[in-house]
Amino acid sequence: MRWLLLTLVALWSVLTVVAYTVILPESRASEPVIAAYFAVGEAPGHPEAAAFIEAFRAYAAARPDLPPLAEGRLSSVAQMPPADRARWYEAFRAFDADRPAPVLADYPTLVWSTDDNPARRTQCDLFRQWHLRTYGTPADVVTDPSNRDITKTVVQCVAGAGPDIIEVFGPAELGQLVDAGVAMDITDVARADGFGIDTVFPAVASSISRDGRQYAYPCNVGYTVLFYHRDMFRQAGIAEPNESWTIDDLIEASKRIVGNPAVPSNPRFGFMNYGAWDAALAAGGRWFNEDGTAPAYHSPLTIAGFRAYRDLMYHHGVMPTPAQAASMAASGGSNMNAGAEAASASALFASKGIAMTVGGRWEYVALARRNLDRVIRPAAERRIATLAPGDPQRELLTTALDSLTRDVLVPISDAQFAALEAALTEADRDQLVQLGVAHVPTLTGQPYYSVAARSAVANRASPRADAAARFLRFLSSREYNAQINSTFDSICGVPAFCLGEDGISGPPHPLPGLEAFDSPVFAEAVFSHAHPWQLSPFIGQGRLGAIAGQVMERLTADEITPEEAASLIDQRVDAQMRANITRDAGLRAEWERRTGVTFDPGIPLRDQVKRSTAPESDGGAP
Amino acid sequence: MIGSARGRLLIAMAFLLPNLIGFLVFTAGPIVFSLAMSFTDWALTKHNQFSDAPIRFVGVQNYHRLLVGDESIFFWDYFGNTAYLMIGIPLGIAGSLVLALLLNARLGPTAPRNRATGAIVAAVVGLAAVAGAWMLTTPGPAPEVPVMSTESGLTDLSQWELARLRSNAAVLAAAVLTAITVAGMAIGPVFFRTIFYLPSLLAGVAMFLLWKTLYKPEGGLINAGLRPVLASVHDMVSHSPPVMWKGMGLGIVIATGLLGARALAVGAIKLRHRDCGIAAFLGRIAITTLFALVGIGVGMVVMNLPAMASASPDGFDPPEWLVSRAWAKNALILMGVWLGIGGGNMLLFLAGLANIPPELYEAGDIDGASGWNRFIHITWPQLAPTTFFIVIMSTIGGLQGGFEQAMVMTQGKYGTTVLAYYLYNLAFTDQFQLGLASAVAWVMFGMIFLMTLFNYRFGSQMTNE
Repeated sequence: MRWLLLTLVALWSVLTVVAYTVILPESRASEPVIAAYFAVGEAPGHPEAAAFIEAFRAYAAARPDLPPLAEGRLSSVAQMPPADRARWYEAFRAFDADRPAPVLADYPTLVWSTDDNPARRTQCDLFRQWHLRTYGTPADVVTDPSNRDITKTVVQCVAGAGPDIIEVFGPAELGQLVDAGVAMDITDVARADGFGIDTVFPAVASSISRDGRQYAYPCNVGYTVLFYHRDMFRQAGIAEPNESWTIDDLIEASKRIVGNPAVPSNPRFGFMNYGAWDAALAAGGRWFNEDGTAPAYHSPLTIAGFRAYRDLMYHHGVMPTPAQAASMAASGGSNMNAGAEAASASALFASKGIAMTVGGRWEYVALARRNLDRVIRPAAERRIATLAPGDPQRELLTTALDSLTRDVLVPISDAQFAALEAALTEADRDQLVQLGVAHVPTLTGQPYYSVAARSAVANRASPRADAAARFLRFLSSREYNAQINSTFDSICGVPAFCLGEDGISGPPHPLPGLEAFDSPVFAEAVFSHAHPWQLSPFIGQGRLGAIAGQVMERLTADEITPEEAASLIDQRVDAQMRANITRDAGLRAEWERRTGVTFDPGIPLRDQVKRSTAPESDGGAP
Repeated sequence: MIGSARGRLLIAMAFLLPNLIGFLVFTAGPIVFSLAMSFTDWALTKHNQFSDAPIRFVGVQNYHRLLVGDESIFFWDYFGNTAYLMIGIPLGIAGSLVLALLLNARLGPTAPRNRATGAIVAAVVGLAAVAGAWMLTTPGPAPEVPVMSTESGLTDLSQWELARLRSNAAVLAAAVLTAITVAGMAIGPVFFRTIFYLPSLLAGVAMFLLWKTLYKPEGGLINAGLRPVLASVHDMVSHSPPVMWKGMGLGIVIATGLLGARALAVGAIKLRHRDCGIAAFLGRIAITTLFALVGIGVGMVVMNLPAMASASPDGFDPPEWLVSRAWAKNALILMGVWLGIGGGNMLLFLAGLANIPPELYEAGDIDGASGWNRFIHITWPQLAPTTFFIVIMSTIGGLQGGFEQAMVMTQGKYGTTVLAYYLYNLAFTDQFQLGLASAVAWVMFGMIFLMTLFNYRFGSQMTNE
């Protein structure tokens, strides 16, 4: 027995050594870079890369043992069987090793703290190709999905072990990195290379900059619009939402849909996934005055928004309370953070359990899979069963299903799309999610979107900081932004790439029922109605969330009135800001600079600001 | 004796050093370091390799902020949550004791042949129950065009899929019960001890995720079980005269009061006759108060049942557990009691029970002591040192605990943020205030220290009595 155990341990050790020395050799790490050389083979874009590829072509021509290229194109290597592809890679390595300055010997490999998914892998490929075309030299990037948490990232970076490129969500997280000194100031290089603040949507400028200095570039822009089931509106005999829809219209429509025997899917609620903050901002409320020196929660507009939110749940009953929403969540439903509630709302919307929700373009994949799995595939398979082998329609349907089953984001041809549509019967169409998209209704009828960007920051302490800055430049490229748009990864951060063939209405064509994902509403929202997040440098976002969270729990449970909620938040935020300013001499100087008055820790900031010559905030206290 | 004293010392040190170095570097060092940190304004975002700003000594400012300053509104709120959650500790200890007593008793057949017979009978009955559950609940073939279920909590499932899911759950439940009964019959109490200890072997997060699912207000197993019970109660209350419920409730309140008064009177008499010490008397007051509060609460609820039934004509709603301010803390307490009953405390009580000399019980039998008297006058006093140890450890654990539950189950919402979760948030999510977070840790230490001193002062006195 003892010998058996020892043998097993020895075998395990040997296998580990073999894995690290033979199965996972260092040379394999260069494969993505070689693939990038092959991918740009026909259009290298940069003289240095062009010269290198030309020399390699000559070398390869003298190697009759290499598998032939399709139409002589190096890019066809990617489509070859793995064994053939490996031979080309090996040939590339051999060619490179004989050169006086091998390109594979030393190139930067960036670590990007982001999730690992097919879209990200494509983006990494695009970066390698873009870098070759733009700079003529290789660079690699790998994702690090296990270190995405901003807390972890900050600790790693200040300890000198952080990723080269850090993913941040919104101005608050960016602020943490800037405060910690981790974020690299790219203002000058961005201006010189044409990816400055002026190239992004104005509303997301605060997601990439602070005090006029640029530290990041948007990966995409996050916001949500109104999603509704067109079939439910049709069945209930209600006109679909338009741009001037208000909260009252939404309430009316919800009441006419829920419990209506003409709506066979029998949704439980009319609307979901809408927060008190959304309602207050859309009503014109503010969190802080213009220069962020005093809280402004206690205003008639904020209170009106809070009241509208509460009434949607408790007065009109058209929206689930947070407890009801949580109880309906598929994930167990007790930690209803924004993500969990959004996921719950998406799942309920997809199953027609609610008539309307707010959602983003990223939900295309889930809805497309739902329509594909539930309706389109069964319908197409029924149709295929009726067609004779060799029938062109059968071929179209089979190939379309194969492609979509692998990845719903892979574009299918117009003929395939038409064949799928033709396979759907009226009964099938009733089962589809028939999506409608409109602006989120507000109290005023004027759409309002509080938007922020998911952006990338270069780690100031990275030994590859220059390459990281080049990666940020890549985020402003046409290739990257077209990929964001075509994979329904929200919407790109660069207005110039949002419209047209590469824009959000470009390919692929959404699956039947989901044509609204090409709706102009998405572009209008960010072009015409987007606003940045409201922040104050005198209070951290985490503390703001803790204070507001305590109070909002009581509002959403209907324990306190909207007036009391607004007043409580205002008082507590004011007290916290004063405590922060009192403790920090730098903050105090900044506050006094902005307001022009001497700070007094004993007087509420709102009252102190009134004495200043600075512009007054909105509405004021009721 | 080998070698000189110096040599023996060196050898001893060689053996002790690895552990000592580990303790100094990884335990004592960080403790001292955190104490020093608590007197500074160290914030990781402001004081790091990228910043020239020096870390300032701020004296007791952090402690002042926590106890009476701008942080006090959070600190005392979260301290209140922590203290509230500790209500479950005595319940868990009592549950552990009851379980240990049950598992210590000789349950079921002891002769191997009888065990085998019992197991076979249980297996036959159980298999019949499994087959019955399968036959009664399995849905027919799936319809060609699925009809989607609109039941919330289980989204995007067709009605047929939902029926199949329920059938599987019923069959699984019957099969698990059968397996446990058969194994219990065959193996005996050791099997049940193992089964009850199993939750302690599972990772906390896994248990919390399981409970989170059980607690789902809709689609969760607990409310699924409560709904028919509440519907029956509602039906019963609606179809009976309200005065009956008011009388019953009043009866419970009065009975509770009388029992409580009797317990206190007996305690006072014992104290007067020096049959017990002041510590035991204080303990009796505490337990009586808890008992009275529960009894009066139940009585009040019973009295108000008719009014509640008329206010909810569609039936009583089951609790919203983790997603309501009224229930979230109680839900965590219930879960904590369940987790605590079958864990280490049960093992300690079992060990304590095994150490009680059997002569004491034999003497009790000779004197004609009843089962209750045997427990009160032999078992309970003999278990006092074990109970004392468990109380101390549970109190310490209660003040330190609650972090995982808050993190995994509620994210600190609905009044479930405890001091440990608050500390984490200060240190890592709210501007990385390491100095302030260290102060929280030391205030917690102070509280635990005082509580432990109190326990030692009065608890050890009770143990000696």
